[in-house]
Amino acid sequence: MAEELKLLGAWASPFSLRIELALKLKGIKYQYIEEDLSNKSPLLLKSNPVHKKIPVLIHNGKPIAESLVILEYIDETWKNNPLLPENPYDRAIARFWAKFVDEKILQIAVKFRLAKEKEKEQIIQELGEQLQFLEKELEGKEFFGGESIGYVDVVAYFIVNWLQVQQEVRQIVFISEEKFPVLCKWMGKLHEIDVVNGCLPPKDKHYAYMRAQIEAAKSAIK
Amino acid sequence: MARTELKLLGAWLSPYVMRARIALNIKSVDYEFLQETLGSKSQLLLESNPVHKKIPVLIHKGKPICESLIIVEYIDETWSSGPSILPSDPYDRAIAKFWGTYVDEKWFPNLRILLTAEGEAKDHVIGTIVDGLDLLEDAFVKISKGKTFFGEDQIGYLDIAFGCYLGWLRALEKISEVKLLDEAKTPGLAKWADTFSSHPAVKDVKPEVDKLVEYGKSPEAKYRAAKAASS
Repeated sequence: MAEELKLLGAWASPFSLRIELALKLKGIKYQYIEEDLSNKSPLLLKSNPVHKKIPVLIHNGKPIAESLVILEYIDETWKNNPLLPENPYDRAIARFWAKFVDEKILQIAVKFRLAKEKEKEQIIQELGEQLQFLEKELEGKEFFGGESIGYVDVVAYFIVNWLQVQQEVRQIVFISEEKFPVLCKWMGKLHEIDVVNGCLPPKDKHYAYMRAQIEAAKSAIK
Repeated sequence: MARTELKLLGAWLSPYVMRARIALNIKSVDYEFLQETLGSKSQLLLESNPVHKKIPVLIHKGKPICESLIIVEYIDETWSSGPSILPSDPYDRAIAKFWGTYVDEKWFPNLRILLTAEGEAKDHVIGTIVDGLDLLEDAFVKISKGKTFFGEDQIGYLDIAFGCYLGWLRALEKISEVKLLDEAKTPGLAKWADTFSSHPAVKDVKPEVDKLVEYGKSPEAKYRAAKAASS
């Protein structure tokens, strides 16, 4: 049966990029459709009427939304190069950390973007505390998935990359090598792997986009 | 399985703890239920869930598992010979998990808001809750395929994920003096709610609505709701 696989995504979204990485790691062919989030396509609105958000995976006409749900669907449908471990306990741990990254790390980072100057110091500290949990979890391992890239690596890579880009654009330290040697080494390793770094947005374009977002947030706070 | 091999840290009023208990009941698994005292956290809880310090935590042969829906999935995968909680088809699983995420992230937080809302804000959040129930009614019709539960003939993941909130839904209807789950507007859900609540795996682990109402009216509950809403 000829598979029809479409991914509705956005080039700078860590949620969309993690799906692309998963598909590429499994060597799955798909059609990528870039969504203009200021002018959402009829296909997106039809495929994810509840949230109207990307990413959406459409497999043989059937849409799946929510990036972590999509990742598990991909892992269950294409069983080569598994993302999740086999053992139920290890799977529960992987799911726990993926949820943690999205809920704690990303949400705090987003809070920073909208925060007033006097609140920022506090938020950076909060972020550091949460990142410490992640740092500890990774200790003694090549990747979160053990010896090879797994579910948590795919989920966390683009979020931590987003933090690293924010660092450079804002000239503020969120995740220093000094405080987070394990996480920084892990990012370094992933940055060296072609299939992984190939998913990153073009650097200049990404930085310009981040700068524009920061300016827009500043005007919103005023 | 020796009771000491499986422990569940929980609290009577938590919908999340209820999820784990229903799942364990479905699998007919014996476990020790350790009730946390409201307002204080036991040493065991702090050690087992250092990241979030929250219940439920399932401790299986000394290893902790946290986050209620992750626990439910763990139970399904570990006691795989019992009745299935998740559907077997990957697409159906994705749909169930999508709606599980929806009720947790989009729908339930509004119930918390309702607890402390007044005036226009109250009307607004009631509208949001009811709109959400309309969406869930459509989802129920599609996913149940005309059968009794979201899991079709037997109760499954999405029944558990959404059903655990029914007690609080009923409690908030009483506290806020408003009808939220309306048989006239969402007949499928109204019928499902009754069937779910009286299911053998559910009826002994669901909190009494009157006790939830009593707790919900307390200043502590309002404080916690407001705190959760702002985090």
